[in-house]
Amino acid sequence: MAIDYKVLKEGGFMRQKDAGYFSLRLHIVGGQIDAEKVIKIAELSKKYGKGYLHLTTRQGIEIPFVHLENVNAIKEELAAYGVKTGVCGPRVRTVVACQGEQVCPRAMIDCEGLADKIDEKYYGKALPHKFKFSITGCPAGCAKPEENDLGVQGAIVPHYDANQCTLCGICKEVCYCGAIDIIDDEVTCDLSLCNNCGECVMNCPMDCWLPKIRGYIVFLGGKMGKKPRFADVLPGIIQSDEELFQVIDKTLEFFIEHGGKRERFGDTIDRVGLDKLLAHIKEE
Amino acid sequence: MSEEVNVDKQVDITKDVCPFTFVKVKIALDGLDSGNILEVTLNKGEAMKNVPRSIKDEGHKILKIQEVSEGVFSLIVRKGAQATA
Ligand code: SF4
Ligand code: SF4
Ligand code: SF4
Repeated sequence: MAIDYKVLKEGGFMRQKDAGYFSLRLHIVGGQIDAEKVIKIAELSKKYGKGYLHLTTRQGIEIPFVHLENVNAIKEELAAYGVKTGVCGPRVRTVVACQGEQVCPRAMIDCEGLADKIDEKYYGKALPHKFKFSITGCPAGCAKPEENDLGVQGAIVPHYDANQCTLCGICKEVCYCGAIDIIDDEVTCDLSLCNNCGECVMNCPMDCWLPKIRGYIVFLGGKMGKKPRFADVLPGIIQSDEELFQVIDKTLEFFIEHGGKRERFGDTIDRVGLDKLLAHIKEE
Repeated sequence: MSEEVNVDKQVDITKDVCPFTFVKVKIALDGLDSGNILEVTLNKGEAMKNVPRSIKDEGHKILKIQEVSEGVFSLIVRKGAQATA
């Protein structure tokens, strides 16, 4: 019997070194999953696998040692619990995210919500090579946006209002970029040094610092692996989801148009030119 | 900032390290009714970077903050209404 590995692979079945066995990749978004689903997945790993799960480096779950003859059965059972299988190959992969504003006090955006939206719109989309998204709430970058093909990071532009200021110096203390200074009872901020982390806003006890702008910083073309490449930063702060999705659409369009077969996005940028990509993103 | 406040309780965390700094403040606040005033004495540096923010995050209001001596600050905190115990 001829086995169509390609079809199996599109469905998230990763061929194992042991003939006839697959590690079944599941569709997880932003590393979040209902506890009930985890219980079901665990049960299925006992029924069809070896009774253990593998947590992937990209917040995913795989069920190793699923035999070829059980491929359809496990897929159906998972579907009944609302768990889909993942993807592999040259397409948009798992969207990773940090816990964002629902949990982390430093987050400036809803990472979970944004990961869901990106997943819904782009997951599995065919491209010249694999394409990884990452969403992270602040410049701490726990979800490593600069190592992904497209990273999104929360950001604010601070604005100071002297009104209630007691000149306590907390803002200067927490600003690790050295953007804030207090000279002669006057608080100043050099926005050219600011990395938009929001610490001043979160820490000022008198609420003198407010986010004048809240939005996203986009990272392009990052990757790890055999030839790591740090992402380029799209200049400016994106201020709406609509604008963000335009940037993503333009970016993917550019990759489809210019990307060589099995060429990672970062390599396409280096070959074609970052200026060309930035110009394409700006185009109406 | 000339308004006078009556301090209901005081806590000194200048000799403590994180996370005990905030734990002490939290315990002190737990013993108060909402609207009561707590005065926290703390050091510049690590405590200043973490304690005021945690107080804010838990729904209390920092009314005043002043340097009382070199590197030592006094924080006047009003316990928040819906703050959990
Ligand atoms: S990236 Fe920022 S917001 Fe996200 S988990 Fe890390 S510290 Fe929190
Ligand atoms: S933290 Fe707030 S109150 Fe203190 S100096 Fe900065 S702006 Fe003024
Ligand atoms: S946002 Fe961050 S880097 Fe910018 S001024 Fe505030 S604390 Fe400094």
